[in-house]
Amino acid sequence: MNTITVDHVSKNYRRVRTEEGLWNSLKSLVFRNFETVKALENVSFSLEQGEMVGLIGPNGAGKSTLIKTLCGLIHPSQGTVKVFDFKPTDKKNAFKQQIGVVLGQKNQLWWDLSPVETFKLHQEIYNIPEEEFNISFQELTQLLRVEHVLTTPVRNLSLGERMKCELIASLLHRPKILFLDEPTIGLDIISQKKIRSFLKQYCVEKKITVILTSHYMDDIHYLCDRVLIMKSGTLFYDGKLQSIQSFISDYKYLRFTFKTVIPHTINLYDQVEEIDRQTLVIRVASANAKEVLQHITSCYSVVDYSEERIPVQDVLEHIFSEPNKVSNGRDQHEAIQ
Amino acid sequence: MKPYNKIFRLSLQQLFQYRMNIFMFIIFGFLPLLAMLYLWITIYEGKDTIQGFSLQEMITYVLLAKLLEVLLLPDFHWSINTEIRKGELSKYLVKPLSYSRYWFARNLAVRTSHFVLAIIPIVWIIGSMKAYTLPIQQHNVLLFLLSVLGSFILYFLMYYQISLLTIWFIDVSSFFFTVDILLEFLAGTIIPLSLLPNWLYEILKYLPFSYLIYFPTSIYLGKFLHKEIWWGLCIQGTWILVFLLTSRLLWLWGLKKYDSVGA
Ligand SMILES: Nc1ncnc2c1ncn2[C@@H]1O[C@H](COP(=O)(O)OP(=O)(O)OP(=O)(O)O)[C@@H](O)[C@H]1O
Ligand SMILES: [Mg+2]
Repeated sequence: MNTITVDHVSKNYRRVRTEEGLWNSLKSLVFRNFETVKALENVSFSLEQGEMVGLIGPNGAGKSTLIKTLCGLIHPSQGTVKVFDFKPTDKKNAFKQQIGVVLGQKNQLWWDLSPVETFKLHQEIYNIPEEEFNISFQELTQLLRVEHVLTTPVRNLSLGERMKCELIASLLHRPKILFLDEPTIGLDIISQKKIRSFLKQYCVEKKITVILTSHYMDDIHYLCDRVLIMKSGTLFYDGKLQSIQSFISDYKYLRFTFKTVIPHTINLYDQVEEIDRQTLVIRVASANAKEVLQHITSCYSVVDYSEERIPVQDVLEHIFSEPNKVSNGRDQHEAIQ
Repeated sequence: MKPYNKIFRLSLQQLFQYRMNIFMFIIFGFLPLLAMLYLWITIYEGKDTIQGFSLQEMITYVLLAKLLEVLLLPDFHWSINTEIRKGELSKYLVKPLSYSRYWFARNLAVRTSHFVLAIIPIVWIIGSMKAYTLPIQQHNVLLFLLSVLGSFILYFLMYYQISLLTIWFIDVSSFFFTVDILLEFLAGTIIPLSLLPNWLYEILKYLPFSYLIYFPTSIYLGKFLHKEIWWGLCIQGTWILVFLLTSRLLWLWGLKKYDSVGA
């Protein structure tokens, strides 16, 4: 049985358009101009228990909207979401008992009190037996190394310490699914790494299904076997991160090292990815690669050259920046396989 | 009920860190009262009663009304307003927790802290106004406390519903101010409602507002017969039931509309 099933889900936000100028704002008192934002368009996928999935895409792609739909915070305009046997928007307590949510830009800890107080409140809210609570508490605080801040008021914690405590607060009741919306936002590299390795260790061991959004590719690389790429509300790609390289396999990189400074006369072909005094990386269509290679090596004194597949980061950049050609993520995904 | 008990205690703990702040707030809350008392004393010069109120009764009314307001009037609507506007409501919605009970517990904590911190100024005011204030008759004590309890719940429900309107109308601050002022008048905090024109008074008797302040205060002063008190308690109770229902509907309706903004 699937843990999460998302079936042709769309979400339209209606938002008021405010126009500039006094006259327009007076007019808007009477006639309100609404515009519809298609934040999700026909998104379908399913997850099995224990999967760790990265949700990536440029700003405004609809990642947070998708997460909110999955936790039942907002109602889809069309389509259905099923999590276990629940419809999230029914907001059943039995459903809420099984999910943990960390919204990186929101705070669930009590600001003026120490994190322990929030943890104990969660014990009451989720009705966690004393013994179970103590075990989880010990384990989580040790793994995340936050023992020393447990009795400090939350307002005096650093962002990293706070985020670790947020994670603990969301895991104490042993949820089966963990939703993480940008849990590493604004953290330094060391804290990011710690949280990352904690998640890997803990969630794999406990078989927790994790859905994670992050703008840091390292998070995704390290944690997620599978990625969902969102683009303008559509699910653009669903599969292994590594395999997206085949997505634009009709291109590759050619890297040259020249003996002298790169001559100005050189024909730069398709696109320069990197240029230095003596090295040049260009992107060429795979079909032309041989020809270009021959041309350059014969005309200039090249010390070294290599062909490279386009790195994941660059593929993503390419996907994100290209205007949206695909209207249905699922069809696209099936076409790739 | 256990989590709400914990929420109550945590809130008290949190409020205690701001005790000085709250204390000053209460002190300044009482300042306009001194002007009011002075005003009434002047108005009563040369008169024994006004509309059946002796000076002592009037002073007792004004003092007690203000006191009840300090102890009962909620201020959580501003917090709920912020939580909805910023999308922080989301963090409650994903937990097996009732938002209304959460705020009931918090409100109870705030009211309790006000009660504790107000004791000193209250004792001082009553002490210095001793010549002007009247005690409650013994047979009314229980009914008075009952009506205060009703008022506490009624206040909560009314402000809770007003807060939820933020879901539909994001910018409600001016509306909140209007409600605060209007309610203060209609509840009878400023003057006894029986001083109003008779037709208005007759209408107000059936609306919920007068059951916030005017009703308990009049019970204290012994202005009502027992039969009238029981009748009043019934109306108060009915409004509580009505508001329990409407706030539930408003909540369910609002959740469909709630956008969970941010990030
Ligand atoms: N409450 C709302 N009302 C109207 N429009 C909204 C609302 N929330 C989001 N949107 C719009 O929906 C789209 C998707 O937003 P969403 O927050 O899901 O993006 P995101 O992928 O999480 O972006 P980011 O990486 O910046 O967090 C955006 O175009 C945004 O402007
Ligand atoms: Mg987001």
